[in-house]
This record gives sequence, C-alpha cells and structure tokens, in this order.
Amino acid sequence: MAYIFKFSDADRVVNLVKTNPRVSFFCYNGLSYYNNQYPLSGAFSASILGGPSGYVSLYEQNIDRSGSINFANSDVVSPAASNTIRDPFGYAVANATDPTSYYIGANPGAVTWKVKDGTRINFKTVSTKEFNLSEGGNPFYNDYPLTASIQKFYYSAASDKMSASSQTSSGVYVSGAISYLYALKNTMNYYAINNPAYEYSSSFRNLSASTPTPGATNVGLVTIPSIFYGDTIKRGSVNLKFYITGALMGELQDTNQNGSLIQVGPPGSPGSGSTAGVILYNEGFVVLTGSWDLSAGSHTEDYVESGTPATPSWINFAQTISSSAPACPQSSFALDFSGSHKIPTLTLFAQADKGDLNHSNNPTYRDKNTQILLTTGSTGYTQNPEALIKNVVSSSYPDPTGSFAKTTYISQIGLYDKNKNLIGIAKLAKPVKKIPGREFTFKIKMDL
Amino acid sequence: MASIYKTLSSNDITTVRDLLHEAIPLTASIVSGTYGDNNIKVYENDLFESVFDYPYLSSSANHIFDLTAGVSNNSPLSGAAVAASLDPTPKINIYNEMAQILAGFDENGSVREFDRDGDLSGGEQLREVFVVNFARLLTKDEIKKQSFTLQVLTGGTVTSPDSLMTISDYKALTQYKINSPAGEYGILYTGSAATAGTGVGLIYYQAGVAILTASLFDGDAPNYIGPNGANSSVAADNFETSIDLFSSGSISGSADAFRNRLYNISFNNTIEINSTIYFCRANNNEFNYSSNPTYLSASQIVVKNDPQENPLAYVTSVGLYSADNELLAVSKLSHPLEKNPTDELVLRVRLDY
Repeated sequence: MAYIFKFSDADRVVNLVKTNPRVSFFCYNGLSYYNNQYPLSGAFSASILGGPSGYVSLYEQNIDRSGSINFANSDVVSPAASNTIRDPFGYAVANATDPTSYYIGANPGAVTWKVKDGTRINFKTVSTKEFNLSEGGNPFYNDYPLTASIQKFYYSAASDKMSASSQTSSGVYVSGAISYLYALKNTMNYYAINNPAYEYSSSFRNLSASTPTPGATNVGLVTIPSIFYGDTIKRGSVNLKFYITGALMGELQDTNQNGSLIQVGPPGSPGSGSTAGVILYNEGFVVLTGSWDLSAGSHTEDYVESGTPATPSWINFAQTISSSAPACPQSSFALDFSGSHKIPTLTLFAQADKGDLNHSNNPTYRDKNTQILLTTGSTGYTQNPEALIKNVVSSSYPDPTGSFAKTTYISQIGLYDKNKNLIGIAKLAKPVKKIPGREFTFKIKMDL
Repeated sequence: MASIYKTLSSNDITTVRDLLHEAIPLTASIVSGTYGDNNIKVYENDLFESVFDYPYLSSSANHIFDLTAGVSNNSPLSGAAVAASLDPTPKINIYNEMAQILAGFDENGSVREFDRDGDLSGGEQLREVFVVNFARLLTKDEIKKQSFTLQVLTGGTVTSPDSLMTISDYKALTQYKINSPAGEYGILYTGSAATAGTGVGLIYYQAGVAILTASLFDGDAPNYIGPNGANSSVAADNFETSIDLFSSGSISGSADAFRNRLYNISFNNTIEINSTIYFCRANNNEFNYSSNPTYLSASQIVVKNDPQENPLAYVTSVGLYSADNELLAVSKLSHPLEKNPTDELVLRVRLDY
C-alpha cells in the first residue's frame, strides 16, 4: 500500500557542494591533449569520440561512428503529398521505404533534428535568415558530436583589431568586425579597478592599437571553453609552462591570486618575476603580452608563420594548436588549472516509523490461492474482504512456514509534490525488510 | 529616476512545450560482427544480455539495448516441448516480468499476455517473444510514433541470408493503443497495409521496449533464424523454427541467434523542452534613464550631446526577480538596444527547463 508522508523542515537539507576538478592541456606539434588522453581509434573512426585530439565531446553519444543521415535526400526534402513530417525515418515508415537508403557511411551516428514551429526554438548552427526562409514543418538537423577545446590566437602589433562599418565608393555597405581581443576590452577594464595589469589601454600599451599607433603590441590569446572549468577557473590554480626540446624555459603562475600571470620559474630564467599577462577567471581567457626571449638568444623557431623564425616568448605560447601556425616541433606547452563547480544538492530524510508501512497492495503480497474478485456484475464489483496475505515468514523447515507476521519489503520511495504528482523515485539497491517493530530512515540525495 | 522593476502580469508570461528529436540508426555492424562479442555483455544469471556500441570494457562505451527472450505460461514451450536439460522457468519469468509492466494485470489479478492486435477483449496473444529493451540514452523521453523500423535477415544461413524482413509501426500515428499501464504502444507489422490481426510485435513508445513474436522465424527455409551450432554457414545448422530455438537454447542463446540476424534498427526519439516565456515590455516612458555610474559625467548624460535631446539609454540585460526582489536570473542581449521615449521594446526572455 502506498503511504504518503509530508517532509518536515527538519527532513529537508539544501547544501552546496563545491568541486574543483583539475584540468590539464598539453600542446605539442599541432595537437593538444586534454588530461593526457590520446584519441582512441576505432573500427569506423580515427577518433571514437568523433572529435580531434584535445577536444571534449559533449554527450559522447556517437561512439566510433562514421557517416550521418541524409536529411537532404530528395525523397525527404521535396514536399510530400500528405502532410507527414519529412524526416528520413518518419518518411521511411509512412512510405514503406528502406530507412537504410538514407544512411551516409557504413555506420552512421545519431542526428538531432527538430521541426520549425511556432516556438521558434532553433539550433545555433542555423542562421536566423535560413530559419525565417524555411517553411513551417520543415526539419532542421544538426550532426553530433558537439565538441570544444582550447584555442590560441595571435594578434601582431601590426594587425587591425577591429574594422568599422563602411560604405564603398559604389554605395555598398560593409559590416564591421571586431576581434576576440577587442571584444574583451570592457571586461578587462572592469577588472582593472582591482588590478592595473588588466588595463586594456594604458600609458605603455594599447591592446586595440595597431602600428604605428603608440602602444601597439603583440598579443597572444588563449580561450578556454566553460565546459572545462564550470562556473569559474579557481583563482591561483593556473599554471603555464613553456618547454623547448623538453627543457622548461618558463613557468607562469598567478601567485598573488589577482589575475596577473607572473613568471615564477625556472629560477634565474629571463623575465623571471615579470608579469607576462593576465587571466580572466570568470570568462576563461588568458591574455599574454610577455614578449621577452625565454631562451636568452639560444633558440628560434617558426611559431607564427612558416619561414619567419621567432624567439620563444609568452605571446607564442601554445601557438602550435592554431590552425594557421606551423607545428614548431621543438617547443611544447602545458596549461593546467582547476575548474570550479557549485552543485546545489537536496537531501531528504524519509522516515519509516514503527507501525507504518506494513502493508502492500502489490498483487504478489496476497496469497495466490486467494481470489481477490468476489462478485462482479452490472450493479457492482466486490473484492474479497477476507483475501489472505501470503505468509513470507521464514522457518527452519520448508513446511510449515513460520508464524504469520506482517512483513513488507521496501524497494523504492516516491517523491510527490504538494498536488500529489509523482515527481521522483528513489530506488534501493536491494529491498529492505520492514516489520511493525522496525523503523528506518532513508537518506535521499539529489543534485539540483 | 530610472525605472528598475516592473511587475510581470499573467499576460506577460506563457509556457510552451517544444519537441526535439534524434534520428537513431543502429546498424548490424554494432550489434554483431565488428567488435566480435566484446560489446555484448552476458550475465551470470543468463536472463538477458546487454549490447553496447563499443567494447564495454572501454569507459567510452554506451549501453544501447538489452536483449532477452520469454515464453508465456500458456505457451506449449513452457512445458514438455522444452528439452529436459533446459529449465523453462527463466523464460517464463522474463515473460511475466515484462508482461506485468507493459501489459498489466487482468480483472482477476493475473498477468495479461501481450496481445497481437492490442484489443484486449479477444484475438491472439504473443506467447513466445523476443524483447528489445532500449536504453534511455537512445529513447530519451519516448520513441516517436511511426518512425520505428527493425530489419532482420532470414533464410539461407547466418553468413549468407537470402531474405530481408522489414518490420515497422506502420500507421501508428493514428492507430496507436493506450490500454497499457506503461503508456502508449503501437503494433509492428511486416507490411505497410497494417492489416488488423497481422501484427508481429509491439513497440512501447514511452517505455522504449519492442516485443517481437518468435513466430517471425517460423515456417520454411526463408525464415530460418540461425545458428544451431558452430557452423553458421551450413543451412542444416539453422534453427528452422522458433520452437526449435526456444526449446533448445538458453535465453542468451536465443538472444544471440536473434542478434546475429539483426540487420538494422532505426527510430526517432523525442525530447520535450518545456519553456516559460516572459515578455518584458518597456513602454515609451520607461527605462529611458540609467543609474549606471558611467551614465553621467560631470552631471551630463554621456550619450547625449545636446541637453534638449530626448533622454536615451541602452538596454544590455534583463533581470528576473522574485516577488521579494531577489535576483533569480539575468538574460543578456547580444548587443545593446537603444531605448528612448519615442520607442517601445518587447524583450522575449525564454527559460528552458
């Protein structure tokens, strides 16, 4: 029998669990490695998770798949005579065609799709223009996996950080564009109140300027997607290491926990003790401006452009993972930090007191030889009021059983809202025997 | 003074439900062949086996479905037809476990059998069944009606089959059944005519379980199911009927035979996205001023050049507050919107759950 009890205030506890998972990226020879993972190759895919090395797959759903589903097939796309929704599998069933004829590749993965409707919810990969031009009822689709990884951008002092909207001589309007670095201007200035190192433009540098404007400087920008750190990067946990042929040439840390990345090692290295950049903890950006030669003139390598040797400096940190950069195989880079996740949890204490929860309406609770239906007809339906409960009390002997005692086994706990809608079920690993003289407290914990 | 709070009325709040789908293809290369049996987990109890999309010892592997077989108490296979060495009880228990959840109990408290046409008042029952229990990872909230297809290879030998049987929930969009305690279900047919009484299985959309009658493989050579021994390339080594199969093998043996004949499974799943939409209206005389410290410089509004001009502000974000003015959520605009007394704005804020 189902019993419903109300949780008292003392039975409900809301907590906040804070976790700081450690994250590491190692960049070498054009690739990055996330937490020292090397991409596994499978029977169908060079990377079973579907993304390149250093990338995290959001759902890890299409494991070792190759190919997709053909939403662009003419059968599916052209307006059908009936008003069926034109997705491949729905179309296949409605029109008795072979669904595998819409497969692309030997082992296609799942594809997410939705129909254009009045809610206007859409994939971010579909432009507003494309969405508006599409007829209602048409499916939009998006292939898995959804991946993310760190990226590196290099802004030379000579490059424009933004271009204003303009009009050509023939009257055509050209939209302006801003770089990621320029987009961080307000954010960096916001933090400059606490730490002047964040100042976007100051007496000695101007991150948005390009030569010959005074203050123009070379800048390296490392972007870290929030999936790697959660709410924020833990202050003081960031560590950048610059290696050349395996030897540590420089190490940056935020030793003051104010966002300034200070070179802390190796001892006596060029630039030791200097600030090489800042980190935006909440936004996940590392802005590097340190341009001194970490090798003290002993090493050059093509970091930014092929055929243009440059000295190893912090602005070239992790440049190897940039798609436009050379591999620079003699240098390697390590980026370590801790994320920060705040997980609200609700803990509930469900009491099973003595004398409660000692009956069940489960059909197997009664003796199977007892008929539950007594009479039924046009005027009534009567159950047997003397239906026997199965005696499950164990005995030392197989027959007879032990003396009858009301016994139930609690296998799960349902959570109801104030309107008695079932909103959650907690299952026990194994049923708990409940007899009238026993009482239990079940601790139910869930992440909110 | 700048407007800060504005109370949302019931006309400003609406709730919507949107459906997101995934097209799920499961090819034979996953369920048999590519990884040997390294992606098939057979348990000590031999009551079912689990199929993964990659060798299950890998942490990347996802469980995709369970496969088992069951026979009803009323099936001839529950008794003497079964080989003496094989206890039919596990298959009966499996059938009863599945049936009591998916088909429920009758007025006498007895477990209902799976009904071939979904009409519980009469007709045939499915008494020897294969059960494909899909993982929630694949079915999500439910399987989309009229999108489910299961294809099996029959006839010939396992290594050289000569027929492809396609089973779908034809016409389920309008003919699905609602008389199950586990939610809605459709009838699986081999022909798109979806003739009543010719169903070969059931698909439970919310539960994500497909029931297939073993009689699919009954009859002559074209319906052989396969292997009755190590040599799967020899026709004589086929199980010729489901009777042979169910009475001669364990549950995992039956499941293996079925799995090796699976050619393809495809369906769409459904994910419900429930949203609340708040229409935040800024009327002409509201939100034209800001209390932001940067709004003024030397007592002059920064964004105004001429004191005679209208007041002007830029809306960058909308805060949603509780009744006691606690900030609950902030929505940000992709770019600031100009607001002045000659304009009104309606900002549509959507919260997904």
